[in-house]
Amino acid sequence: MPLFQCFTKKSFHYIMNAMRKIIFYCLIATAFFTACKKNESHVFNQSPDERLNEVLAKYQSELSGAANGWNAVLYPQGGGAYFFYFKFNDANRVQMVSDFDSASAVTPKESSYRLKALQQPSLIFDTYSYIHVLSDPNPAVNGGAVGSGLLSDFEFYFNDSTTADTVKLTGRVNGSKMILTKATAEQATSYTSGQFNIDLFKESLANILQYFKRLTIGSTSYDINIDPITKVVIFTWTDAQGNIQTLATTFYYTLNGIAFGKPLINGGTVISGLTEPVWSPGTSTLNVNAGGSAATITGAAKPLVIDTDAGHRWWQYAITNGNYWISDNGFHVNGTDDAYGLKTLATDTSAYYYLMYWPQPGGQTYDVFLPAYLITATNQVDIIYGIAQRPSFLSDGRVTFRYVGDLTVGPYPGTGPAALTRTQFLSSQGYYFVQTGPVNYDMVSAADSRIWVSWVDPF
Amino acid sequence: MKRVVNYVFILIAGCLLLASCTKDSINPADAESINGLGGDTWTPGAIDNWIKDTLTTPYNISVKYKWDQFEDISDITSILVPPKEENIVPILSAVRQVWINPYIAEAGESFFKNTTPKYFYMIGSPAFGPNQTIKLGVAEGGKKIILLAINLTKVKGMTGYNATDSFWAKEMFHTINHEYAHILHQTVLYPQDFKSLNSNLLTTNWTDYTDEVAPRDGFVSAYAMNNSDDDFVETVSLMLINGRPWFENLIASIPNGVTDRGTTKETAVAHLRAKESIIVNYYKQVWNIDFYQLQTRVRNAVVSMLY
Repeated sequence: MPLFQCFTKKSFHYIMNAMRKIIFYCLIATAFFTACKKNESHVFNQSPDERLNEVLAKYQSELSGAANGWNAVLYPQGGGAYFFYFKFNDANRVQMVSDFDSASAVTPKESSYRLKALQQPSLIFDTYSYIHVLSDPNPAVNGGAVGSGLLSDFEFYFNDSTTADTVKLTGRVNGSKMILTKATAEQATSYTSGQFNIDLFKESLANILQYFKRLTIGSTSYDINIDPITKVVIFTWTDAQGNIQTLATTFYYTLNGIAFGKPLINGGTVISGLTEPVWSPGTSTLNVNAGGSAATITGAAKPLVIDTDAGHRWWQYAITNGNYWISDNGFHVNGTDDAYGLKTLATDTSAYYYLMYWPQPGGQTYDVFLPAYLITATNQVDIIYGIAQRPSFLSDGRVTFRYVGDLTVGPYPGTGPAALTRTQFLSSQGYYFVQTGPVNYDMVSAADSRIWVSWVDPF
Repeated sequence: MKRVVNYVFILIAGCLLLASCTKDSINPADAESINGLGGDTWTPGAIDNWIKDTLTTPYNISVKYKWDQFEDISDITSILVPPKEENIVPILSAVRQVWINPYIAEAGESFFKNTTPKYFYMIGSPAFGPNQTIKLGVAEGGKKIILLAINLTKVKGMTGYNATDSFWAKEMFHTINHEYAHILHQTVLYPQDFKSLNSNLLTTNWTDYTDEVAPRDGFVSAYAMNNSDDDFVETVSLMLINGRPWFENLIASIPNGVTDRGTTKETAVAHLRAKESIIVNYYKQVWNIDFYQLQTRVRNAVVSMLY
């Protein structure tokens, strides 16, 4: 017999009444014991708004409280590293210099900033200054891509790891990183009085005309490739175990030289920058201080470590992608861009556009090398003359080009910029190749490393 | 017994209601601690004071030039940067001379205060769009006008100005007058005649045409082909900032022949003349403004700012 059929109607009623009472008293008891509890324990003892205001006030006093201002290094998402000096006051004004160019390094500029509670407590540089130059979507300002600039930031949130002496920021739009450290009184004076000379290092280094440069510290030598446009430096060396090591790091300018985003570490040697450059014309040597040790930078005919596959990669990339390589400036010789004057080439209707290397156009057995023209009226590329040639990839990494014949609509010029370019191109010693970016290769004369051409994939 | 229980219950419930919530009293002053309530604040500087004295107090126009990520910038999705401080006051002065002063001189302050957009937001860079397009100005429903490319805009008197820099400033004057004319016709619509003039030639593919060929179809610019409203405000704006001789010259230089869309020179001229006369009558009858006098004032101001 099922259990519930044991109850009579009356006993059921009685039980329900008793239950109601029990529930009722329980509720009253609960209400008495809990409703008016005076000491609720909150996770935080202040409201979110109070805590937010406190944090913003703390960051505000930290930023404007640094009497000598801040040294800052900004690492845009788009690459490179840029130095800034900031001096914040407590009335939403900030003064800055930056190492973007020589003028911005010596001309302090004042603009505004504010702290704001966005998703995180944030620092916003809210009127234009040097920091916005990197973000500017106008390519005429920074050489970046149309509509996005160098993928940098001017709105940042404070990272939790911020301390009293180091402020760590992350860009809100592109995620760039910026690290601020307190400056000294001497640094403050130098940066605000026009003594930040970024040309010091650039011009010292420009004394070395060879493409390949060698940094020697004690008995150890490193290939060093410094690109002031992308703000990247690449070291290549052979370590104590005989392994080839490469370090590509960002760099920025400091008051007396350059500093690296990541230090160069080789065994016990740690080098975070190169400072105090002094050029010795007699020995063609640039003397520098590398992490406390005297070091030299000299030109070299070829690198210590040759990327023997680079030439073939360069050629194969264009084949694989059905592309060609172009160079705006043509050959750089002895410190001069476009040394042969390709940019002076013109016809009645067109003008020099770029130097072009086209591997196996349309499945041909030869490669094409030519200066291309642009018809100004129609904006169309005009090919007037060129040469057919075949590359050879040598086991030591060199690439030589063998002349096959002229490809002409008009005759290939016998004199002038085009002729000089052809003669140099067919140099029997050939070229070393250096990959400088995903779609960038430099082709350096094996006979004379003061001669090179930079190829880029235009697509 | 049941009744007693009920009374006890009510009593207890009453006590609970009265007693349990005494802890929190709401103090309106606490609201001030809410961060950002009432908008962003900063220490006002010379620019803020100039804007307040020159635009906000007299005309109830507020101008934001400091970057705000959450400002509604319509359909712009590209990366932008804030404006240069040194450009703010010269450009707003020019705006006042080219737009505010002529309207007040011709129609009076109360007309202007009633119809002006109330809010300007300034951005340093242009908005780069796909296909090499750039956006120089945007308006939001008659209330707000977004001025872009402030860092590229220069007027006479600014460091390094020369007349070849006039493109950006002229585009800005064009934008403001364009948007303001929208407000006017949204307040009182222009006559139906205007819409029926060449409605068959209106096209959302107006970007396929250039400003050079647009007059041959009876439009003052390519964008005027977008719709009747834009046709009206483009005609008003370009007539104002470029002046009457420019408009006469535009009409005189329409070549003979028939366009791809079948407009003869005679039709194009007739349409432009009809638009001119509808606009002049509209300004007179609706707003009691002498359009030609307004045009002279605006054009003189543009010339004094740029050349």
